[in-house]
Amino acid sequence: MPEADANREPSPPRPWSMLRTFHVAVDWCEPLVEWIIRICGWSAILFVFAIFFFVFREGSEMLLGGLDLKEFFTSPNWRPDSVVRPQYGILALLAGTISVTGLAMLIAVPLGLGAAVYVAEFAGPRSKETLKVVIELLAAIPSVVWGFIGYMVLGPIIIWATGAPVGINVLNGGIILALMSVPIIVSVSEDALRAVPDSYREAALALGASRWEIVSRVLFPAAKNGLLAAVLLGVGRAIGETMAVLMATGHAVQIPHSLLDPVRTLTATIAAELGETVSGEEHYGVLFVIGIVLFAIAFVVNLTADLVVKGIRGEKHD
Amino acid sequence: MSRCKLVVMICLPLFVVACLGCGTRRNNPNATGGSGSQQNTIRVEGSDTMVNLAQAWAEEYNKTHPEISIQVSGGGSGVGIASLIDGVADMANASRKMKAKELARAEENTGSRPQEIVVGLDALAVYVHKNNPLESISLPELAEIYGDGGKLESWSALGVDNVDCDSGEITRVSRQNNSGTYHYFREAVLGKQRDFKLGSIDQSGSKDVVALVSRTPCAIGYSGMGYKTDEIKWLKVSQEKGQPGVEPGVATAADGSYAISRPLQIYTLGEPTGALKDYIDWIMSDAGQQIVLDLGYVPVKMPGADAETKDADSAAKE
Amino acid sequence: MTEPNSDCLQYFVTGTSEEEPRSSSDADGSREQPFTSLRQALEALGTDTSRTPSSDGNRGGPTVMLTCIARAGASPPPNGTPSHQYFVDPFTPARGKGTEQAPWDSFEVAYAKLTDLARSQQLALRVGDRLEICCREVFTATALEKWKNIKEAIAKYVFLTMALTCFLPVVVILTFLLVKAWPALSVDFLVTNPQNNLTAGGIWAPLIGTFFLVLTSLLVAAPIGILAGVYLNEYASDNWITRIINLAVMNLAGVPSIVHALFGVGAFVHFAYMGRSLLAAACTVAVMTLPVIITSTREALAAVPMSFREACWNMGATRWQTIRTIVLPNSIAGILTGVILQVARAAGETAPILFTGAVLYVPIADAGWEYMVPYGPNDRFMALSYHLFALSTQIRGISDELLYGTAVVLIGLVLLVNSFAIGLRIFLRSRKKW
Repeated sequence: MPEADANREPSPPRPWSMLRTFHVAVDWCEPLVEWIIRICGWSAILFVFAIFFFVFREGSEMLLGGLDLKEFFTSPNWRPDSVVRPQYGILALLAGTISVTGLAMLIAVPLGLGAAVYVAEFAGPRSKETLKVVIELLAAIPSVVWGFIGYMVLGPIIIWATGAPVGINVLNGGIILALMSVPIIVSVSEDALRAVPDSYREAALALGASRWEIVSRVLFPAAKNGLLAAVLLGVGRAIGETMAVLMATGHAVQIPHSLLDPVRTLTATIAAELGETVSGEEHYGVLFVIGIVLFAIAFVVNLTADLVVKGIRGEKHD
Repeated sequence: MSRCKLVVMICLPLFVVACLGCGTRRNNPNATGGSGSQQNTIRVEGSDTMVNLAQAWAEEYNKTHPEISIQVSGGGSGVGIASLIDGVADMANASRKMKAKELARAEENTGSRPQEIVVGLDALAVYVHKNNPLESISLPELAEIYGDGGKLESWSALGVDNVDCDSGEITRVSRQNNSGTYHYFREAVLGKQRDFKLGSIDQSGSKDVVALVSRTPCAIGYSGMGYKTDEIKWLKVSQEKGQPGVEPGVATAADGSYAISRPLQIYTLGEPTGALKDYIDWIMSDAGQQIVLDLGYVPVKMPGADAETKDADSAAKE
Repeated sequence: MTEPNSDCLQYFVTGTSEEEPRSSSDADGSREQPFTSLRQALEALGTDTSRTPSSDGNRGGPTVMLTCIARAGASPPPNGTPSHQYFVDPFTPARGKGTEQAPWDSFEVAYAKLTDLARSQQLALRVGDRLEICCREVFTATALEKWKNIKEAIAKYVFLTMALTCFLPVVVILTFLLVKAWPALSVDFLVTNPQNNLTAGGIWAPLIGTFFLVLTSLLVAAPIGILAGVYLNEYASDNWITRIINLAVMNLAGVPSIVHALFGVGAFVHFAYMGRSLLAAACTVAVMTLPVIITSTREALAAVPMSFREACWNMGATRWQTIRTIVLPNSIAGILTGVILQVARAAGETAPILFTGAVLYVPIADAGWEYMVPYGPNDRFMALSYHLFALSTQIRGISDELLYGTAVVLIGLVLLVNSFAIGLRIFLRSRKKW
């Protein structure tokens, strides 16, 4: 800040002190410091681009040549190391991801929204605080632990309850992913419900609405964008989850026909196979192409969520 | 700022970065490593079948040579070979032979040709649930169960009444395609020109297979014979249907009468030198070979009997 | 209750000295034929429904009064404050105590409760005392209103059930894990190295590996994240570049962890020549957890009132001086919370370290310096999360206690660090100075 330096100029010379010298030095460095801060501020953009750059860099060779994109998206045959002819079709993997995510959302969205409504509208102050802390703690449980739970605890329960031949399947993965994505759905939609102005609630109360009517007729319509964003973020979390689905879905390349079929997801495929591939070889490149697909999905989901949330703010300004 | 413009502003740079990524890919540096191959660190990677072995060697060797740090990781034979080619491992455990293509790549990448040392033999046992009445199976039957286009899908087709299995269908448990077990089983059972049927449950570790089969009445799976527990039973294996089956074991594997047994080898880049040579010499000594025996594998030379097992050693190398 | 209104039903009771007992059939509670005891009065009222005031319809709150007079025919004392007062409110849930705050839900309940009290001698009237049972409700419920109340109660319990379905299974599962792991858990388990093919001993090597991973990633992520938060809150104006940064932060948090792993492999392991090492893994984890620090730093800074900054600027301080001397010291605890949350996140991640440096086994010394600092930045390392993955999928012959013990230690570690952050936040909120 040059003005500051200009102000300092006419001040009479003071005796030398180490601390003052240090401070002067620090102030003199201010433009430098500001630039460092600015660069750190932009670093988030930098990292997103870097992720995109490096994943593309490794996957480009396969993406631009060598990979039959039609086969890639439409063939259910994933045989990267076939002795006959390597086939890279991710249809079955996509079906796995979609089925597990879909089931997880079927479970998590109603439960999550219900829990959010309870926390935001019905719970007393004390139980509200407790529930919020519990949600935050649940969100912190590492995904490998969820995988462990699915594999060691839920698997046998599913065999016992449904008589399925194997306990690690779509159902298992769906339940685990649902439990994992519930906290994010609850906390985001609770924020959205809280963001509805109190005057809406008061107006509805004055008209004689019950709390259930307030929730269903006033809060849901008013907070619908925020709730949609919560669902989208939940979807994003479920699609991107790796360790839990690697351990809990059974890891079989097939298009599932029932809830009790084991499947394999896109993320689990990368996690399981990346280690074996040699950098630069075809299989390695294809895994990075899957990475690009995942990045694109996550990017679109997040962008949509962001635009949807900003949508509410836009409306509020009117 | 309209929303549309914003999206364009985000996507356009991403596209440019993607193009940059594509452009810069092919100045791939040579081997990444080299830095880690100092005297006192040995980086070991590879086969899951051998990971227990490698870990036990490392632990035991560390007791007498505390100055040497041996870093062991599993992940599959492919992982170890890939790391060797990338130059990030000093020693790769492999339960399959390196392919000619891989040998060439390694030489091109690192400048030295991988050396193969056979350290033991492993018999692949075919496991079923302990209540399964089946006792013996032939290689063609296994091929029909696991192979692409195979017709055998129910236990009754094998001539047994698997009472505990409600659906009667055979649940195939297989390994991930990064494992040597997977490759060896394919070669030994399906032959060189046939792929696995998709839809099997691909487990990421040898232990997973055994654990899953022991919990699943309908399942059949394959894994090293060292993984046998009391909870599970293995089948006798015959070359052709109708012939008497041979039970997996140290003796039958060593004399070659058991059909699915394979050499376990380690690969190093070039002739081992220094600490690595000492370590490998120790592995081949009685102390190292005793561990092979203890873990349920077949040593290349019986500990304590030096002279007469030399020919068995060369036979195993064959 | 100054003047008994039309709804007021007044009954009389003679004093507790029951000098002239009569048959109860004579007594009707009038001044001439009062009840002989409180108990008799209450029982009579309770059995004879015609005496119970109706609480339906829109009549204002009826009151039942029991006045104690010396003998039959004596004149009642002048109206004053009643000596005993109870409340009835037909629209509250049951389980009231008869007080104004927690009324009973009907007159029948009130009679029954008071009879019990009278029977056990805990309630008695002396001459001149007056007992009142007031119906508090001024407006009474219509059928519609009752239906509404029922609906509301149903809605509340449905939502409560949904909330509990989200959390209870997890609590049950965690308890189950803890029970299974209990035999293995001890201090020894934490501080001894894995032995005997990882099937015995403790988890010191992976634990300390996780510690170093978290520490290194913190060294990378904390400065960048905090400064980025400072930029976003203090420097950035509300324009498109800020908007894009926000979007980028959100995306960074939303990118699947396995894509971060791919990035780590491409950028740090291969491009930056780090190889698979602690450093490469820490950098990958740092990039992944950056959004946690950025977001909470922003929140902490935003909580510092604008007037603090304005006061400082008025003294001629520059922007950076203001941040350094006013904003950061006032928000340091909030920033710390974010850093702690980052630690918890980093400790639990598995996918990003899978290909960037974690290994199954590294023999480390059992004592001494090497025991405390076993991994250099270029070494591969063991980490608790990867250890759990490997133990459950690759290592054979492992006992359940060890497996569950490892899982419980990992969960415990993460939850402990997290609770610490949450506790710190609650503490800060409670003693906020502005």
